[in-house]
Order: sequence, then structure tokens, then C-alpha cells
Amino acid sequence: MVQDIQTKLLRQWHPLFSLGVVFVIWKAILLLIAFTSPGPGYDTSTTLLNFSKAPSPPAVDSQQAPTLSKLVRWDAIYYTQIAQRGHLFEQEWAFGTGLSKNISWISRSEWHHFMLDRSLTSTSAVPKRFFYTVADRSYRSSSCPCRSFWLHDTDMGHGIKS
Amino acid sequence: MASNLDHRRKQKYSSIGSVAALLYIVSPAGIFLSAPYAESVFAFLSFLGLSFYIGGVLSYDQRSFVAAVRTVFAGAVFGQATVIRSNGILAGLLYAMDAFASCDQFIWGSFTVTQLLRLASIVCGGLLVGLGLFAPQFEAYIQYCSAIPPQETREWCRRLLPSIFTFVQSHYW
Repeated sequence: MVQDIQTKLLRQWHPLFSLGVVFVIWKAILLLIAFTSPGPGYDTSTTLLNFSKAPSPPAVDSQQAPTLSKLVRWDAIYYTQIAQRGHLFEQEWAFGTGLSKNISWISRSEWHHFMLDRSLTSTSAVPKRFFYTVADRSYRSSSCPCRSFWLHDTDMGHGIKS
Repeated sequence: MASNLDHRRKQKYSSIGSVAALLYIVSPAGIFLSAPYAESVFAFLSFLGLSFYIGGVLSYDQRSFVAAVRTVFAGAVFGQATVIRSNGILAGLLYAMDAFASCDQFIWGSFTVTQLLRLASIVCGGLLVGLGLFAPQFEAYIQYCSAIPPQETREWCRRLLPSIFTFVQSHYW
């Protein structure tokens, strides 16, 4: 049977379909390994992430969404933090601005608010909560001394100049 | 997604594209391509830009205006990839090489409008790629270096080419 599938994969199916099948199987293996690994992980910085500065609605942090937060390690912590509050420290400028800006923009859009409202009322909220877990950007706390211009924060202008 | 685009780049019955896409799927980066990292988005945009670029190269003989639009659009996509991950500037090498070849052909070969259009599209696309590298650093320069007395700014502000990327990479990493 394995031989049969192998023949189909290589000869009969359209190459894109074969690639799609291999892609799904490989990603399933990798994500299974990632989600079933025990403990807080080698890089425990994820447990320090705290998204609960939002006034409303109640935010999700790494304790409440431990499965998805297992993907937030190493550089991903930098990206999610930058998406949340913009570039604050100088070394964060080593990371490209494009990804965090896009995450921030999508989360602030009306589409995200719509999805988030639905996710709070529906029972199967896992895929929608992923956006919220990655960066709690819509509800910035007013104590954030962010200086990034593209966040359009009312706190703009603080920092070195003041 | 990346595998689909990778395959589109190549001819229909060649196996090189399939093998390349397969190797990319099982790449050693592994889980990093599923986590919130820039690598996967960057790869997607690179492949997208390459497919447009090759479309431009292939359709240059018959439909030169469409080829020019594709080349410029590919430059925009590469520029966006460069904003996401600064390795994207290497795609500018494509444009640089093509610009030399096209310029050479324009000056010493045919003085036609199509050739000029191709050269203009290549230069435009290349500039868009460079803009993807330049714009974030300009933003950082404004944040860190402008409207501050020179003796109080960071040390990289006073260099001839005040690039925050090079300074941060050497200082912190």
C-alpha cells in the first residue's frame, strides 16, 4: 500500500497536489513534536510574556494558551513584542519592520475586531484566538512610552526628545 | 504556498521545480517556518517576486509592456520582502545584472523603444528593492538621530553611512 501511494505521489497525481500532501504530512509531524513537548521549553522567555495590560476585553497570556505559545520562542518573542509596542530598544532594529507592522495592522483592523467578537461568543475559538495570542496590540495601555511613529499613539513624542 | 509558487516558476514538465519545492518543504528550518518568524513570509514574497520576474523575462519578446509591468511589480514585491527581512536586498543583484546587460544592449545594440522600456523597468524595479532596505533605516535615523544635538546622539549617527542595521548587528550580536 505504501508502494501504491508512492507511485501515485510520483507519477499520477498533479505535482502541486503531491507537494500539498507532503507539506501537510510534514507540518503535522513538526507541529505534533512542538505541541507535545513537555515543560516550558528550553527557552523559557515565553513564560515572561504578559499580555494582560489590556483594559478590555480579557487578554490571553502564555498560561491560558500554552499550546500556541509554544511556537513563540527565540526571535518570535521579539517579533510579537515589537508588534505590540513598536521598536523600543535599539537592538530590536535588527529585526525587519515589515512582519511586526503587518501583524499590528491586521490586529487593529475592523476584520480582527469582528473575528475577535465572534470568537468570544463562539465555542470553537482556537484559530481566531491565535491572532490575539500573538500580539495584544489593539488595546495598548496608556503607560507605554512608545515612540514608534507608525503606531499613531497619542503618547508619541516621548523618549529621547523629552 | 511557497512550494506552489516555486513550482510555478519552472516549466511544466521539468522535475527540477518539484524537487526544489520538495526540498524547501522539508527544509531544516522546520518549525521556524510555522512560528511567528519572518522567514516564511519572506520566502513567500521572494518566490512570488521571482515568479513575476521570470514572467517578465519570458514575455519580453512578444509583449514588452506587460513584461515591464511584471518586472516593476516584482521589484515592489522584492522590496516588501526586504522590509520584512533585509536579506531581500540580494534580489537586487538580479536587477543589477540585468541592468548592466540591458544597458549594454541598448547602447551598443538596438536603440529601440522596447529596449529602453526594459531598461527603465529594470531600474525602477531595482530602486524599489533598494527602497525596502533604505526606508526602515531612514525611519530609525529619524527616531534616533534627528532633532538631537550631535554630541548626544548615538555613535552610529555620525558615520558617513548611518545604518542602524550594521551597527546593531556588530554591537549587540
